[in-house]
Amino acid sequence: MPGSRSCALLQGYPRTRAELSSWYPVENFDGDFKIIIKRVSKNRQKTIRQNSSTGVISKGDVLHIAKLARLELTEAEVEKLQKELSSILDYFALLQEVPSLVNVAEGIHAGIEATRPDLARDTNEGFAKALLAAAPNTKDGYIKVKQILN
Amino acid sequence: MDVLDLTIQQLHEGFKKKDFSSTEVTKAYLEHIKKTDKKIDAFLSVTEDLALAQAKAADKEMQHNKDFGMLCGVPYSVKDAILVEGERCTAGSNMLKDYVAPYDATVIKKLKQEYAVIVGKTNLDEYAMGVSTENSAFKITKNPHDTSRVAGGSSGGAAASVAAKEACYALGSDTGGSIRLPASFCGVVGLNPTYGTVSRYGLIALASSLDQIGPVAKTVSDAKAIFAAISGKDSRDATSADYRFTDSPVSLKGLNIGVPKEYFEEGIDQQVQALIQQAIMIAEKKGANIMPISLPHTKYAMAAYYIIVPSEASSNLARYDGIRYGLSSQSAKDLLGEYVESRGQGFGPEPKRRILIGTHALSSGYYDEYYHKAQEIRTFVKRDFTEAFTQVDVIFSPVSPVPAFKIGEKASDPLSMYLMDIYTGPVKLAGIPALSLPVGTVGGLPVGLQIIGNYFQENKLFGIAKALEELLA
Repeated sequence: MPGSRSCALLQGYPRTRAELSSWYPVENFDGDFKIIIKRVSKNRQKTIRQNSSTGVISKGDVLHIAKLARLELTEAEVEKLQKELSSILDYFALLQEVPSLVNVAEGIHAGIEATRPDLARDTNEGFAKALLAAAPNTKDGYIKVKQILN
Repeated sequence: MDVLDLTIQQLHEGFKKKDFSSTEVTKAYLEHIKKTDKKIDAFLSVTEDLALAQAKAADKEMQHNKDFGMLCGVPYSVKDAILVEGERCTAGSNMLKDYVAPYDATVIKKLKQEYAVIVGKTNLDEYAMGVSTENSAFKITKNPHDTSRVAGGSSGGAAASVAAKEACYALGSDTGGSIRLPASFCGVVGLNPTYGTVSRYGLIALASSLDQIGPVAKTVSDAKAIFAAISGKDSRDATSADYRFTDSPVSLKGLNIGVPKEYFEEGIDQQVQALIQQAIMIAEKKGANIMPISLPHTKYAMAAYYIIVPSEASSNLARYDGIRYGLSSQSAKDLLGEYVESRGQGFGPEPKRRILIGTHALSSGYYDEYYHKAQEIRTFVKRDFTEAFTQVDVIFSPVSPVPAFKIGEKASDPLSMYLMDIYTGPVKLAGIPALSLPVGTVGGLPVGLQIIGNYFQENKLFGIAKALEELLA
């Protein structure tokens, strides 16, 4: 996968074809990663569908969602959230009673055309200083972060 | 005459007649906060230095300019999700407990131009997620009418500060009822404006398609003066509308008032219902036509709301990663670790709950079933209202099914907390304005009437509310 090393955020997810084929049984490996990802998500969707009809969410699901949300949870939190999310998701089931709508955009505050040229605004040095002051690590007027590439 | 009892209008008159100065009034409020807030816990920070500096500037303005504005020199409080430059802004969360705002929100800029005086930042549920301020990471705000009960939320501190005479008025924010509910619980006036009328620039975002800043005040006229000052197009908020508030006279006679049958089915406290119906009858006696209407998608609205808000929140709260601001876990060994640890430590249980719901609703495999479906429901809810407004001018409803509940009563059941927004939430999905007006008490606890209007009809809401306010006085 292009730039797989830079995708440290995909920790725990398959990053090479070999890893991927050991995770999910994919019959026709045609070498195009985009197509593989589509198949993977379709397979996963099938498993997810089987679970969602019961409205129950497993601990594994909670951990998966927490990973997507970049949230660290304690064991106790996972247990509590599993119960709470299950009852909330149960409640959402009633939405399926309403027939589908063709044009959804009506519901969203649509029709706003408000863009501006993508140019930096001229502000005083004090403003930039105030912004940097909020960051935990800075160096020479830059925000310093941990290593991204290995 | 206690200056703390005076409305904005009365203070303005007093300033004109030189009965007192802004510095005197501000000092009176600051003194009162020192005495009272230990019991009420409305404030997260009291901005004494700023307040006195602004009061001094206001007094100078009043000397030099005979036509000084209505809000000049009047002390107010600000919900701690609205940025005031140089002051701490926490959003009620440990994530931002040491964050100092680097700029003013547009509404604050506008009020500074009016020479208004900020006495402090008020308590809220963490990231405005809640109905009682019990989700604040720092303290629970008590209801000034009964300190064993909640002040409502998420703008609990704002409403309590006005009800406890710690500020003449307050700025809150409303995403699903967060101005109207605490206003109803604390017996003050609260306005949720039409989406787009007040700039969101400088408001810490919860759900960007719903959030609005609005006034909490002692009277309808006060709320109107504040709304006139803070509303208007802002180039820094892409969703702000080309709107200018104009006052207009409204009479109850001949007014068509809709009463939605779905809002009076089971679940509402009998005495609350009686007070609402009494208010409706008062309007009817003055010549209004009461028309029963139906908002058939009401029962789906809350489910849709509690998918849409967490979805948008999960996106908005992704910015808290410990890199540019906020709590940052320095013990993590890599970048991913820094994200997950900072967020794990900084967020409280309710933000975590909502981020997870939202992430789930937007994730691959679930998007259609949850988020897309919720947006469809939103369209139906909006249509319910636009349909109703072809028949009626305004809609009357309760704000809350119950008066202020006891602290801790609902804390263990998030779903029952969510259902507190049942009358206030659908309004936000449609983006229409609604005002909460105190109409009486149940066992000493205030109850608010919700007056819902069509898009950009705040003038109607103010007119009707003022007429009722006078009749109920």
